[in-house]
Amino acid sequence: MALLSSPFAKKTNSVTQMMLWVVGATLPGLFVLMYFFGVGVLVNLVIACTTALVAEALILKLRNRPVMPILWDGSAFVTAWLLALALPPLLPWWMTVLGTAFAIVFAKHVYGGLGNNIFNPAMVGYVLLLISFPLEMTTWLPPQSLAENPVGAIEAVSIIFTGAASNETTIDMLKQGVDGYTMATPLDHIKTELAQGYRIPEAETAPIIKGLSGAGWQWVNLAFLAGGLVLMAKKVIGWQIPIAVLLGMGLIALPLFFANSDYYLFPMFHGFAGATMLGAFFIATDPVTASTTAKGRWIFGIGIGAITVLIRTFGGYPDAIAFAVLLMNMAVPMIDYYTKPRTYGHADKKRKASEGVK
Amino acid sequence: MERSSFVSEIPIYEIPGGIHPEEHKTRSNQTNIRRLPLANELVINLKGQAGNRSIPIVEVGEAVLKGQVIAECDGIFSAYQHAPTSGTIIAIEKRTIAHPSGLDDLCIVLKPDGDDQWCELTSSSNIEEMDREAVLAQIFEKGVVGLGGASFPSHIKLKQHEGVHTLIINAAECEPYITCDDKLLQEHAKEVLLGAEIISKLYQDINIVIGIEDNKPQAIDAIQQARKELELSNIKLGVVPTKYPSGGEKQLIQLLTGKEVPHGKLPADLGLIMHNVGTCYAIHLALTEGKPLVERLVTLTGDNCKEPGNYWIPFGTPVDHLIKATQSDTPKRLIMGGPMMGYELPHAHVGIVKATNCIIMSADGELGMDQTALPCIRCGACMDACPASLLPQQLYWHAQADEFDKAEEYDLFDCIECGACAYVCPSHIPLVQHYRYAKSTIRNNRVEKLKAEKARERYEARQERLERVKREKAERHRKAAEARKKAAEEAGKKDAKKAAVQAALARVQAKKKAQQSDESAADKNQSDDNHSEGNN
Amino acid sequence: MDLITAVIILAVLGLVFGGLLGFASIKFKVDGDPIVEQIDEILPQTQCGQCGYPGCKPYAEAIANGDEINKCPPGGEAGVKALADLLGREVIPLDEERGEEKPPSVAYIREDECIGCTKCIQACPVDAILGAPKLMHTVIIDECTGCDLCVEPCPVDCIDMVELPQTISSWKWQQPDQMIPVKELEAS
Repeated sequence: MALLSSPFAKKTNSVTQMMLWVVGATLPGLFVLMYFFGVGVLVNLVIACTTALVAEALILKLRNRPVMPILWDGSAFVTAWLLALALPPLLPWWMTVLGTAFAIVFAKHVYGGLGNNIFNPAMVGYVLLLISFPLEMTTWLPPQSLAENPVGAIEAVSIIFTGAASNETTIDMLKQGVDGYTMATPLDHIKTELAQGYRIPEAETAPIIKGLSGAGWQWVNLAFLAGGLVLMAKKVIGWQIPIAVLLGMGLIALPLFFANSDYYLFPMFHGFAGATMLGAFFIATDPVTASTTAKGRWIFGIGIGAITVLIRTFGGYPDAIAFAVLLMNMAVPMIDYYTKPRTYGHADKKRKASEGVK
Repeated sequence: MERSSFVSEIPIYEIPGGIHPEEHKTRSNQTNIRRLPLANELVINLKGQAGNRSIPIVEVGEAVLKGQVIAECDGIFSAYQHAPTSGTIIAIEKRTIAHPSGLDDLCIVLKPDGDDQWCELTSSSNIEEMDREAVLAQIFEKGVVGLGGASFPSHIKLKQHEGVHTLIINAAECEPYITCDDKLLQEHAKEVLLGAEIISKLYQDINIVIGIEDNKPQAIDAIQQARKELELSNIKLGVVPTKYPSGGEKQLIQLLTGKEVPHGKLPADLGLIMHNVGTCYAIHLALTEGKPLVERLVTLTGDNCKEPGNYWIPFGTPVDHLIKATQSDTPKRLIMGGPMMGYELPHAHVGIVKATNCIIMSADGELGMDQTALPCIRCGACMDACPASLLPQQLYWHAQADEFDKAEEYDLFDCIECGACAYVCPSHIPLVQHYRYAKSTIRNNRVEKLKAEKARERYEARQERLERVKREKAERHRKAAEARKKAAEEAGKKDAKKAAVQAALARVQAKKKAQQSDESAADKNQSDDNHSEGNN
Repeated sequence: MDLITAVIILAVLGLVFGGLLGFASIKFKVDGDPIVEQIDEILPQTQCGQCGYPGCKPYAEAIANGDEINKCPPGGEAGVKALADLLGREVIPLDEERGEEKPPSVAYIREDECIGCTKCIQACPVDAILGAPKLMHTVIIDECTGCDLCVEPCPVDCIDMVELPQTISSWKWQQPDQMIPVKELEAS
């Protein structure tokens, strides 16, 4: 019998538990999404999760790894879950399948499976879809309260699987708001208006812009924020990265806003628009691809926040959490290398270097 | 668990990391200290302390009295061992020893006679009058070693005295399950403080600080009581919040002074010296009563232990005797030491040693460690728990890939193996075992490297020697040849000389001959001339 | 005209870079041939000659000159791996003809059988055997590399190779097996 090494005591925690907490904490956000955008969100979730589990099982088999223990760690499930939450509610089913399968197979297992991937799999899947199908990926419905033709459950399922609604409504009709105009997401709307030469105060008169950051979306973000705070309290995620993401957004958005509020959005708008809260609390905190040192977590988070606002403001895409996360993922090995904490009893490396100069 | 409301008398600093595991301490600290009947045989391990093996000085069959020296220091770095009870030495042989390897090593096996009769004890009448050397010698000869866990010979630790200004008594006892220091203070606080006084006399102007976790209110009360009775107002109480591993030497120093022991240095370099409460008690006994270290307080606990508590147990008492004497069930896993830093015993017939502070007789599932290891998800929980501010996930990454130089770059050897990282790991990775594997492999590699170095030197020396021998031989041959040649030449020269001489002789002879013939010719001529003249 | 300019420019560039390279080759010249030393550093210094060379250094020189890296059984797989890393070569399995990786052992002379012929003393590559003609010989365990070379020449076969027992000080922790449930370990 091989003798085991201490410690013999073990905290009762597990990866599965962590993953379950993450999924649980997204529930408020999920419900709000469903309230505003219909049952399509749920359909996406089911498609993505099934795809992920099947893809994970197949590839584990292919790689000669034990299937059951790894499948049940829940990481593939969480990847699919988060990806689905970020997808537009009426995305054709095969795009969801494609994105999820790509995330699991290429972003995760090609790198060696859980723990070895450099890029956040959910965001890789998302970006693949975004640059391959830009139209479908930016087709969001108006919040149901503002919609001319609210989407029923049957229509949603029908559109996702067949591309057309069961009755004679078309997607274009579904996208129409009460004012008769086709509706985009608040961030998209602002971007389009600015491009057409309007100023922000003018753009903000549209019904889609309401409250903090637009009808529906502010509640979605608030719900994800609430779930994220629970994760923080439960110590499933560290508190540094989400705070750093929001801080990074403020660092760029605030000076811009003060410089010219006609063309630059109020920072609070950034904070509660699009995928900000989902990104800050659920995506950026993916432990595998985030920085692991104390200082590194701050740099990583601030980078994501800053890049997001920069792309939203100056780039071609209305939202940019996915790009920002992937860009910072790339920088993680370097960040980790240069932010090694000072070991107990060791002199501060910087101080030592400067003493050496003397 | 109950927390003491006592406010620390010195400022307390913070340590990074740390964990709050379930304490399991109330199980063993509710009863008074007890004794168990003697075992049938005591197995005393000669490597029962840090450093080298002690040298046995008794023979098989010899009768010994309690406290009699049975093994002495090897002269370099080991401790004296004394008979824990009176009886007969029945064997000096290899037995399984208390060590994580579960290997056998040399042990003295003693069969007690049941009388438990002390040998004559030499106690010093007046400690006040003893000089530093005498006190140290007494501590050395009584086999006192650090009882906190590392069992480092105390007299060596006490030797350095330049610049030491604070004596820290370690009573933190941060590890779950263990309560022997707690109980010792509750029942023998006076003796412990007197022991600390003896140590403090070895230094000039020294402050004494007792570092203790706030989960030991009764022990804190006992210290205060004893301090008042003994009028030792110079002893300060440093009460630290309960957090594992606050009792680690480096961690307690950081908590009580805010300073870090620099890498590669000793606490004494900071002017600090630390001793465990058990060591203070042992030093007190050694000096006032002349009693050598022959037993210690051990916590017997665990779900399968039917009589948990603290017991005075003579060294060498086999653990299976302790299981029987407490009518305990056969443990699922038998842990010597605490659940965080102890080690598993391969079987129960292993004698306890000076470092044994706890025996955990665990039940199935009690320790919650039998789980499949999953891949590391780099969550950083280990980093947040590490009291040495290391990056355990990086260390693990490099250790499991055998990239030892990288692991050393990440300060592998600053890891104190406290186990906080593995405790919090959601993937159940046996992190500490990975570090130990890496550390012991690196150490072994170094030894092998040295050996290879030596072999290379010897090989090269031999090659050189062979070369030299060959060269010398060749040189000799050359010289011999030369000599021969010379001889030959010499011989030749002699011949030449001879020849020359002969030639010369020959020439001379020839000349002579020629002369003679000339003369005769001349005579002839002359005669001829004469003849002609005469004929004219 | 253009042609001439181009030729001149190329010629000047050639001269400048040639000069730079020449300067660099002198300025940053690496002294000696440290690769042999580095290879020798990795070889276990058993001096057993199983590689076909008369010692570790000669084999190191041979490797530097292109010989295979898998001819050293005492160095084992780990040794091959280290050499492959150093030289940027492929890791290949040990050459079985040269022998197999054995646990560390030392020579032991059954002293009452020794006739004092000194043959083993002459065979030992590291001078680890002590003795004189017609007198009993013995092995200095600490110096013995376990190379086997003394066994063959002994006319009375009184030399055994004895495996070094594992002691507390030579013991090391094992790497825990990944992804194997602890419970399974227990059963075995």
